[in-house]
Amino acid sequence: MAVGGSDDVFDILKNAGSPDAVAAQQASRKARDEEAALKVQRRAAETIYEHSTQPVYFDSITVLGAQKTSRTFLEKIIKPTLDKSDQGGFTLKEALRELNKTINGLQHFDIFHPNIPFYLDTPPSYSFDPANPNAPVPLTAIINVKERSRLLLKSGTDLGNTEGSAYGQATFRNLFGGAESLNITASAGTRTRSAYDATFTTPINASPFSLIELKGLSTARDNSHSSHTELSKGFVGTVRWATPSHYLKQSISYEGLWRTITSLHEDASPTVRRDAGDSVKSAVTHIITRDTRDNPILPSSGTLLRLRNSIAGFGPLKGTVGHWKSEVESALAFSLFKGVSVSSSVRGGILYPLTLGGGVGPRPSTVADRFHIGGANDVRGFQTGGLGPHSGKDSLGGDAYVAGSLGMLFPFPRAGADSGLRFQAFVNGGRVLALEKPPGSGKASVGEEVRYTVSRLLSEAPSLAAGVGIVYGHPVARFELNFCLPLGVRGAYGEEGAEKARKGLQFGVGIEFL
Amino acid sequence: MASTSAPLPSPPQSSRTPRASSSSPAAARTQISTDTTARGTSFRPPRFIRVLFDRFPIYIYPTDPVPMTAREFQTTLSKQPKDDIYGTNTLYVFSLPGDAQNCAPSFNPGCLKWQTYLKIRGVGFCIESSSNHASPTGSLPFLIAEAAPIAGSSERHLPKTIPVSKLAQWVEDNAPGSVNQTNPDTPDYRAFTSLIDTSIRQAWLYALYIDSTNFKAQTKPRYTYSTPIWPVNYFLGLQMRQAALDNLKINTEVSKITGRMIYLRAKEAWAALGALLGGQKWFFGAQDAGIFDASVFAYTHLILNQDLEGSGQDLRAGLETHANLVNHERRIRSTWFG
Repeated sequence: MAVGGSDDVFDILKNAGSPDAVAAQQASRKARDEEAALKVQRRAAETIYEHSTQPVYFDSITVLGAQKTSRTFLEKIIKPTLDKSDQGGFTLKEALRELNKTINGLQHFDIFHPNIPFYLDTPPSYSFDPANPNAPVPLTAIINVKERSRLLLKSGTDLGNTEGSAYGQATFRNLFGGAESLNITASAGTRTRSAYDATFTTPINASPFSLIELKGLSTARDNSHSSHTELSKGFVGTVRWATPSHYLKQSISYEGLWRTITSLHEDASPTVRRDAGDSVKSAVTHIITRDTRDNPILPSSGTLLRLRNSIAGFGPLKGTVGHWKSEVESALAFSLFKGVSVSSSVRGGILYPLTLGGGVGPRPSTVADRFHIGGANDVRGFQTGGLGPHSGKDSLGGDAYVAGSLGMLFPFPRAGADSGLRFQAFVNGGRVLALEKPPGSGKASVGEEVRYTVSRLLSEAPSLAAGVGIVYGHPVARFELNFCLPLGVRGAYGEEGAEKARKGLQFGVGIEFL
Repeated sequence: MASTSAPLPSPPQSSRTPRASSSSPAAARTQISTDTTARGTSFRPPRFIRVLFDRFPIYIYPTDPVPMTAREFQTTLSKQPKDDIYGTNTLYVFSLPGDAQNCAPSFNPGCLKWQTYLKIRGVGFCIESSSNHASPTGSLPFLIAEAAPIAGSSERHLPKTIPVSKLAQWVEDNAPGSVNQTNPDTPDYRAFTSLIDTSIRQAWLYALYIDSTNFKAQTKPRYTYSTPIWPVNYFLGLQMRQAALDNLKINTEVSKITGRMIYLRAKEAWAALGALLGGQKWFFGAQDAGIFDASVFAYTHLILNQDLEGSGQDLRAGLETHANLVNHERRIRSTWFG
């Protein structure tokens, strides 16, 4: 106590069990281990680098731990690597790159745990021939996967466009050993009152870039802006494929839906009442998307172009709804300076009534198929479906529309660019019109009507709103709180048929914004 | 799917008599509207906000026309859009589109009763084929009344939707035609009304929904004409039939005995109605036809003029023995559906 102070060996021993000392010991041990691991890695890297041009070929690739996965499925993933190696002129560097691709491929399907270690060795029978050092060296690769559990049960909350929902989900992974999955979801939300769906997904030919999706669904959607609830039951089959090198994604789908417009509000407008009841929509839809944006939730660079074409009821499609519906969507974002960025988007769509297979002449569209534009993550400063023809308090929707926005995002003070917080200022607007006959012509063909409607759409001033607000771009969804003021609106407040603008604060949550 | 979607004849409404029509829903609505005004006045935004909000929108453009109806859309007709929906009373009923254009009798007795009554009372209206989903009460019919013109303007108010429960009162307020003076508050009137709403109605349900010949050949194709696509029509058919079964309160097997009993009761009802009418022109000895005549016609017309097959022929045979009822049907048909 008197001599030596803390250097006293007894003191040291006394302190040995203290939490600080233990932590210090652990830290130093960890550092030593890490250093050793790093050295091993560096050594391995050096070895590989020294021999990177060494000609090699794969003698075998073994996947361990894939009991439930089918052999043919694995073969399809691994075969490209083996084919490359068989072509000759294959170096160690290329072998590693190819192997890495294979592992990425295995990871993609979400059927294995993401950490997939591999081992490289020469076959036991191989012996180095010093006389011929440049002879290709055979390699055996062992990929050690760990299959994820087949059944995944999940529940949680979700944010979609202008709605929140709670869901329960059961996923059966790798159903037949080929990365097929079956997903059964039940959810209840603020707008989609209830939704049940069962989706079966399978990759096409074990490719990570194409898949087939078969879906059965039953949903009840609350369309308060048009005073009704829409029930849909049916089937959707989709083929999706992507061309990553061109940022392209495409899909072709068929949907057969039984829709019911029901539970009308007491004050529903005559137009909505007329459309109430059952309809069968049988449609084929093609969507092509080219998206180069850096971040779809909060883009600061890149462009988006999406074309959506859908044909319902035409020819052999049958059903009770006949139309061609085409929509185009484009967005552009670029940075100006110091974290200030500009984003702009333009959308448009048209619904062209078609004669049903076996029907006499086209029938007009219904409230379920028309475009409803406006809302917190659509044309801001308007209520949901706030633009276009109205009757009473109902949005009736339009057969043709254009909408666009121009906005600037500013960095939030004392929050970095990565925080996802921004200020924004925007002007947005749109025009929505129902199909109209050209004035003075009692008899007009659908084509003439569409032409007249589109010419009005493009020649007249759009309804406009502007505002400022705060944006928060979370990876899950984008949140916006804006103060909006309408600049130009069709119809005065309270007038029959007037558009529904929104003055003041407007809160929006969603994945896609105008 | 709720049972409301099954297109059955609407539940008995005749207990609501033209004059005694209850106004409790209207009272409830008044309550609500006073409530909102109260809330509206209690919350007032700050002055500068109000001043700011009053300035916007800067531009107000004229409103857009509403989407065209099927009738306007047909290129052969050149009606002005506004005239069609806003300028006419429209009774929404079960009807095939072709029949709707000619205002031909609805194939649903509940709808036909009101269609006939409106005609008797001289109300100008057209009919629109629709579904139960469209109705404020969950079952057809209902009326969308001609929109009242706004004073000093060519514009019109938004038309009002009149549910079947308020239709009788609406007719009293708006019909130009003669008034049937029958007092609906007599025990006799009530007894005969319930005879139609139970005995006759059940026999009708049995013949058209439970008898599979008629169900397949007539009921299902008529009620599902707008979605004649398998499996939708199949499911709708199942729902309709189930609703009819529920209505007949025979949830298990429908034995022949029950069917026979239902027809027997209908036969007795025809006899009673035949005796009530006697040699008179209209029921209860009235000068003009009234709502009771309309409700009898709703069934007699459909039973006599639809080609009922199977057990439905018994129902018709039971009716045809009463010549005065047959003549009563013919009288209404030729006067108002000629």
